[in-house]
Amino acid sequence: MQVPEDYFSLFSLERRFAIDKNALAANFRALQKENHPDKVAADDEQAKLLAVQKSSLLNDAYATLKSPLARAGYLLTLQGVDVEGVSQDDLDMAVLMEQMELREKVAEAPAGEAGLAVLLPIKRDIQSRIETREQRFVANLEADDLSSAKRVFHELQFLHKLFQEIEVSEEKRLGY
Amino acid sequence: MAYSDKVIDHYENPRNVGKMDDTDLNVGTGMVGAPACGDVMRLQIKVNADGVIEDAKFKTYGCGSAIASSSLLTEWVKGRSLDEATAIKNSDIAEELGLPPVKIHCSVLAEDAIKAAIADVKAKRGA
Repeated sequence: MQVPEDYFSLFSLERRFAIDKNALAANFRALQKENHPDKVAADDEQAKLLAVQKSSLLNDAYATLKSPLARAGYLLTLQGVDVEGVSQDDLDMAVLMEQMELREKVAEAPAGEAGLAVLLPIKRDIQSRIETREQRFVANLEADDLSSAKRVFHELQFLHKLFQEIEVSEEKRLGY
Repeated sequence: MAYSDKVIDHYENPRNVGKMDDTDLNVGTGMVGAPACGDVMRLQIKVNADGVIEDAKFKTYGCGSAIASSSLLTEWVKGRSLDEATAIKNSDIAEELGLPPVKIHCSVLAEDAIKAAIADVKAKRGA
């Protein structure tokens, strides 16, 4: 198996934030099929092991590119940016205030199903903030301004995390 | 993951939750966050004329360990001078709360918050 340069080339995609999700899914399925362990001779242990490894690589690569947040982090990693290491200097006061305010709003939602009507507009608001940040991220990457792109990535992490937490809270309220 | 009794105690009965007037020159505010966990922490101190922290408040959105770390810290800094408060290490907090290695970063966050609050009040009073 040839080791691809990166996850984008693995799926024959351009290395950029905006990707064709249908092409990603289609190429993933095709590669998975091509690499199916059943295609390997039952007694060829070496080939089986390789198939398992490749399958795991394909899954990781697909999960990374499918998620906009993971894709953004991966693009930075490819440029040598350490996205795991965060210092407080990487976070603007305004961003922390924004998080505090959004979380206060979420916390104020009434318990039970009554809170759902409060959470919905907050989710929409977060979604639009995410879109604005994604545009900024793309612009920063295009301008090769990696330190700004890293800051925006951390803002996106905060927003996505809050969005997920709201979804969990909604599910609980609905009794799932 | 099992939380220690001390973490659970601070989580269920957080000390000194609240907000102080940030426009007060004797109030220092430290805002910090951990983007991957989504944690945000605001820690505030009020310093008297002798440079002693007479009150501390916090608000933390995050996991139990982050809440407990900041709650404990507000208890610890009261009655201490700014220099004494600066000397508090995240390892002291982690040890007191019995934080497991995966939650040490929560105590680091609390240390960052108090350091930021101290720097803020020093800058305000120096101005």
